[in-house]
Amino acid sequence: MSDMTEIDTTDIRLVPESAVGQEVAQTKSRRWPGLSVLGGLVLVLALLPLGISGSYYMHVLILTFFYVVIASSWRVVSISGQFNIAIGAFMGIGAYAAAIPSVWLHWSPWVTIPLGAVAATIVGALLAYPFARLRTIYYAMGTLFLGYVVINLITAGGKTTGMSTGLGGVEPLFSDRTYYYYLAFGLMLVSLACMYRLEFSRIGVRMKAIAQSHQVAASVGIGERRNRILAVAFGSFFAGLMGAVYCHYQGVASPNSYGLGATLWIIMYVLVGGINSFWGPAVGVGMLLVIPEFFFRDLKGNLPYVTAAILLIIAFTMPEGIVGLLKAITDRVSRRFRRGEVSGDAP
Amino acid sequence: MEIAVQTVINVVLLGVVYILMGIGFAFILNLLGIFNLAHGAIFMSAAYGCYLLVVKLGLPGFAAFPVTVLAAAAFGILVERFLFRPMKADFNRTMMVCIALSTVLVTTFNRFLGTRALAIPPFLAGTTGLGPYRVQTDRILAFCIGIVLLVGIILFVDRSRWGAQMQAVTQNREGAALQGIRFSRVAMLAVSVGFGLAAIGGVFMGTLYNLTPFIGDVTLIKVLMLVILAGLGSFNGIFYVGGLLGLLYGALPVVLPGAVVDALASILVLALLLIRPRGFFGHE
Repeated sequence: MSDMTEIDTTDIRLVPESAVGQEVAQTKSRRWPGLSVLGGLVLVLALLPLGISGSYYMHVLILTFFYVVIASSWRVVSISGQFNIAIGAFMGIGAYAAAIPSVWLHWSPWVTIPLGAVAATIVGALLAYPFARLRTIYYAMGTLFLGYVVINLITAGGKTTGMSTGLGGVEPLFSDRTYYYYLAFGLMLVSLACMYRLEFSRIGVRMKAIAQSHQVAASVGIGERRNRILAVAFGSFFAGLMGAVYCHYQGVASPNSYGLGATLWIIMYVLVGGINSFWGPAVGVGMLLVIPEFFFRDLKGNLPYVTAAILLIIAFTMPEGIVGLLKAITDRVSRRFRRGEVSGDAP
Repeated sequence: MEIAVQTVINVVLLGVVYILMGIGFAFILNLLGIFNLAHGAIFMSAAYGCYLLVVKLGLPGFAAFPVTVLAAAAFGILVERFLFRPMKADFNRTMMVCIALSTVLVTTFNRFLGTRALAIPPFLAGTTGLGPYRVQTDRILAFCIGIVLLVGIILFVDRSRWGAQMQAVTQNREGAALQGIRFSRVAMLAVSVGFGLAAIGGVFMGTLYNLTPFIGDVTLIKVLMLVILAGLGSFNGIFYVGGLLGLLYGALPVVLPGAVVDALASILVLALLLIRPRGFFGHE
C-alpha cells in the first residue's frame, strides 16, 4: 500500500504479451505437483460429507467455502490497487436484496439469489464510480466510511430491513445441510475458476499495472477508472452472491455480519494467506477460521486470543503471508535442484 | 433554558473528546503512516481501566484519571517499540498488528466485565446552581478540564519543541532528519501522546456516558470522519472540524432524531470526500 504512491518505473511489468507468456511458460514446468495437490483436495472435500454429515464440522466447512469466495473477491478488487474496506457492505447489499423479496414477497430462493448478486454488482459499480478518483489511503478511508454508511442506511430501513436485529425468516433453500455443503462447494469452485481466469487474463494484467503505477498505466493506454470500476463490480458480484446464499442458509440477514468488524476480518484472511498470490485467501481462511474452529473450540470465549496470536505471528515472521513464505521456500528448493542439473544457470 | 446550558456543555465536551482522539490518530497516521485501527480499543480500555481503578481499587477519581492516562502513554511507548517499529510502516502488516491488538483488548474486557453498560462514578457528586439553573457539578468540572486540556494541546502542538518536531516530520521526513530530528524518538513520542490523548477522551466519555466494550468502534468511526474532513497532514484543521462535529453531535440531537444526525454527518463526509478528497484543510 505504501509503495503504491511511489513511481518506480524500473520494476514495472508492463509488456503484457511477452511477460505473460514467460510467466505461463515458467509455471507450466512445475504445474503438475500443484495440480495434483489441488485435485486431491477437491476430491477429499467432495467425499467428506459421507463421513461428517450433519455435524458441526460440516457447518464450519460451509462457512469456510463462503468466506474463501468472499476473501478471494476482496483480493480481486485489491489487485487493481484498491484497498477496499467496504466488501462487507457489498455482501450485505446482496444479502438484503435477496432477503427482502424472500421474506415480504415470498419469492423463490432461486430468483432472489441471482437478484442479490446482480443488485450487489450494480450498486458496487455505481458506488465505485465516484470513488475511482481516490487512491491509496484516501480510498481506504473513504471506503471504510462508505461501508459504515451503507450499513447505517440498511438498518435505517425500519420494519422492511428489520433494523439492527436483522431480518429473520428468510426461506431456506434445502432442508438437509449436505445439499448446502455441495452448493457452497460448487459455487466456490466455479467462483474461483472465474477469478483465476480474470486475474491471468489481459484485464487482470491491466489491473495489476494500474496498481503498480496509475501514471505509467495511463501512458500506455490503460483506462484507470474503467478497470478499477470493473474490478469492484467483479468483486462485489461474488460478494453479493455469497451474501445472498449465506442469508438463505442462516435464515437471517443481520447487519452485524456485514459491518466494519466483518470486513476487517475478511481482509485479515487475505493478508494472513498472502495478498500477492491467488491461493492466499483460501489459505488464510483455513488458517484463521478452520484451524481455530476445529482445534481450539474448547477455548470458547478465549478463541479470539488464538486468532490474535496467529495474526501477530504472521505479521512478524511472514511479511508476504503464508503462501508468500511457501513460494519463497519452493523457489529456493527448485533453484538448488536446477543448479544441480545445469551448472552456472543460477542467477 | 436549562437544556441550553446542558447543550453548551455537551457540545464543548464532545468537541474536546473528538479533538483529543483526532489529534492522537492524526499524529500516528501522519508521522508513522499507520492507520491505527486500535485507537478505538485504546479509548475503550482506558475508560475501563479508570472504572476498575475507581470501583475495584477505590481510588478517588482525581488520582485514577492521571494514572490511567500515564499508563496509556507508557503502553503507547511499548506498542511503538515492539509492535509498530518492526513492521517498517508496511500498511498491510501494521493493519494486522492493530487488529490483533484491538481484538485482544476488546476480548479481555468483554470476558472479564461482560457486555453490560457500566459507568465511572462521578468525580464530584451533586448539582450546582448556575444562575437559576441546576447543572451536575461533574459536568462543570469536566467542562473546565476540557477547556484547559484544549488550550494545553494547542500550546503543545504549536509552541513546544516536541510539537514543532512532530510537525516538521509530518511535513518532510528527510528534511527533518537533516535538521537533526531523530525519527524513532519522534515516532515513539507520537504514539505515546496519541494513546495518552485517547485515554483522556476515554475517561471523559466513561464518566459522562455509558461504557460498553463496543464504544471503541463507534468512536473510531467518528475519529475517522474527523480526520477525513480535516484532511491528512493538517493539525489545525482537526481543531476546527472537531468543534464542528461536537456542535453537530452535541446540539442537533436536541432537535432531531439521532439517526437523522448520523445520516446528515455521513452524507456530509461522503460528499466532501468526493468533491475534495484532501478534506477542508488538507495539503499535499
